[in-house]
Amino acid sequence: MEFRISNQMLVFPSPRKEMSLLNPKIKKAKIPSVLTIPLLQHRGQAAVPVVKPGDRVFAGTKIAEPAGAASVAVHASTSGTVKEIGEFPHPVLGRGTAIVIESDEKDTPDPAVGPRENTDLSFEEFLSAVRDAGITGMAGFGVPAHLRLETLKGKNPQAVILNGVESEPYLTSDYILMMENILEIVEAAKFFKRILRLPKICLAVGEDKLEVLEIVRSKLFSLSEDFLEVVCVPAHYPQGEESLLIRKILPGFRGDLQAGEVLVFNIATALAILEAIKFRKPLYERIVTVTGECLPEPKNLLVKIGTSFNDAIRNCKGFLRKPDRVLMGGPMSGVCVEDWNAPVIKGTQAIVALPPEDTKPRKVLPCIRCGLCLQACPVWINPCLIALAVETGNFDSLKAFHPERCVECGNCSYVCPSMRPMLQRVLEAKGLFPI
Amino acid sequence: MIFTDTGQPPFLRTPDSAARMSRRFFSGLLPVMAASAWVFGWEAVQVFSLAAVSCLLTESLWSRVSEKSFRIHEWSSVSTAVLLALLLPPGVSRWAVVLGGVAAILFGKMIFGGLGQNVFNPSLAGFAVLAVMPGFENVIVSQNTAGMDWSSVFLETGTGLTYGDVSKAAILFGGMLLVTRRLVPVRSPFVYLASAGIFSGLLGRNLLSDFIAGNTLLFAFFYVTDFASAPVTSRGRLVFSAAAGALTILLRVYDDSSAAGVYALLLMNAVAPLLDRIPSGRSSRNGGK
Ligand code: SF4
Ligand code: SF4
Repeated sequence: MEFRISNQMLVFPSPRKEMSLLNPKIKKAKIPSVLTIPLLQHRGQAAVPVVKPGDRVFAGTKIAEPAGAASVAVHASTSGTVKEIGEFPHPVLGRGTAIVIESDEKDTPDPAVGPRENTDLSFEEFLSAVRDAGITGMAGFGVPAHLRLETLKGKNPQAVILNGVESEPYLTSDYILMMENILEIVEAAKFFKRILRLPKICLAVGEDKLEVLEIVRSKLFSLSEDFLEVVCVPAHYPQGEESLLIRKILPGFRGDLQAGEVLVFNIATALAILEAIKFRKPLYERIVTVTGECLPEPKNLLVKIGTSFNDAIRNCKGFLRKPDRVLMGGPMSGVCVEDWNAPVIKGTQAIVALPPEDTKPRKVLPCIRCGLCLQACPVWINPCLIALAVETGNFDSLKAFHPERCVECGNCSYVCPSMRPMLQRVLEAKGLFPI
Repeated sequence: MIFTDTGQPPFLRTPDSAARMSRRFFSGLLPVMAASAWVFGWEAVQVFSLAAVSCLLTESLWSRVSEKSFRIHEWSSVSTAVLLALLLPPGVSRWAVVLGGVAAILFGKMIFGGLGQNVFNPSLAGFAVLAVMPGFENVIVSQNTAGMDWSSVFLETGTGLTYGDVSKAAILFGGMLLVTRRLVPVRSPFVYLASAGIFSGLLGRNLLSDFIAGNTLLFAFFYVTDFASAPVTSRGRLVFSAAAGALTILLRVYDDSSAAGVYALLLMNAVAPLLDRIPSGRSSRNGGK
């Protein structure tokens, strides 16, 4: 048995990644007859529709223009006609405005999509191209990519980290992307390095994905390229979280994470940006890990944005047994989707049908002061005393505990032997002190 | 009874539970109990069972009286009972055992609102209440044994004994079980021992007698490490254990008895919540920075 004297506890939730890797290739999902494409798929403002019912669209046709700074364009994911614009289920917001497209089953690409002749863009051109391609952070309900890139403007960026850590259980979409598209990733890295004039670009891979590490290194060797630094990071949760990853890879980095001298991009986002620049291809499809014990054939699917959860799950031969909870994203920080007609959006890394035995309600007991939640917290705050202060209404003492540092990883709730809702308490406290 | 809201992240929860942790903590006490039963025979078994029954009955009666359900940590009550019994000297009257068990649960745990809310270690609180009751003074035994030597590490049968410290080897074994399985704060026992050792040396006392004859070792592994009555931050726990160790030796200077550790720890229990707020450099767990 490993004996550590340290008071930091590394959390390893059971990975459960093998399920979706039994089909170790990306499969194309069947295009459903109707796609519901929400106008708001990220943190920020919704886009404004530029089509009306009856219009003919193609895969990649822009159907909504960005409105406001924190907004990106939205594109049709397949060819067909616009059926209606209205309120529809949304995986994160519950309900939201969406454009419904009836597929003509031909999936004709828009003529505007095609190789770009001159990829030697200026920084401004690059930003607007990224925005026009509708690219947002592709892990969860993300931030528009151009906003992240904009923070680099006029600065001396230190590094960009391509995040392939994927420390959440169940998720394998980044893993599959790295296994299949490693040349594109190297190309994306090269592109980033050139256009952002970066001194350093890294690809971070979790320790549980040594085969990826091997593949990347051997590819880099045979390309005789050495600009991409491949870093192996520990695979405990939440190592894939941005600020923690930056701290791990650049231990000396003391800059403001918000000020953006260092940027972290998901593998999926980086590839989407590359495709947007190279092929003018907007973000209208993505890899989704459709998995969970309740599915007979978990897979990684290439899914059109707007495909409903039900349709995506049908590609995996439906339900083996009925799940209580279907999640968008991983089980540690994902969101529970109540209405399975909600569509896949740009940030849907995974659709996880949790088995009923994991979602059984368990008794919540009083805190036994075991201190596990503190030891599991990656940002060194004290969820135990924060929760105590919230529950007793002792808000004055809260500030000293810095609840705003919480990265919402959920470790504190995960480890609590009394099943207490620590994350929710810390979020309550965090809500009291907006940064 | 409140249940987890399964519609909120995280959707996975640890397979562990508070009840399971109590059970596993109890398993760490088994070697000590076995050693005690080896030396004292039936008598020890009777005392342990009597204490356990008394604690469990008190707890279930209390949960009938008050509306709240306390019967969720049965094994923690059994541990409390055994931890109390381990402090008692052999030949103690059966009434002392029963009353101690009742006092431990009532005054140690229930008046604060159950497990986790208790300010004092329930077994120690029960013992202290027992010791001040008229007629039960003899639960405290003098442990001034200057002539001890290393041969008594495995089995002691001399005077000044309690059920708990017949075998230091058993204590070490059970304690290390707890520590290696991380069922107790990993550093606390060693900090307590180190601090006690240093103070004992500084005061020119017989180190051997402090460790071997006294119940220092027993306290280090099973009483100092109690979660609920100790601070929750790691720095708080360090200061707590160090101060408790030093205080134990100081009290031993005045009264070399089995009660020194008890009072030292009860004193530290009372200030434990304050120790959570000692500011530390890197982390903001203690408040500050
Ligand atoms: S307090 Fe926040 S950062 Fe710390 S473990 Fe809980 S959710 Fe994670
Ligand atoms: S993990 Fe749960 S029981 Fe343990 S200290 Fe934190 S809140 Fe209390």
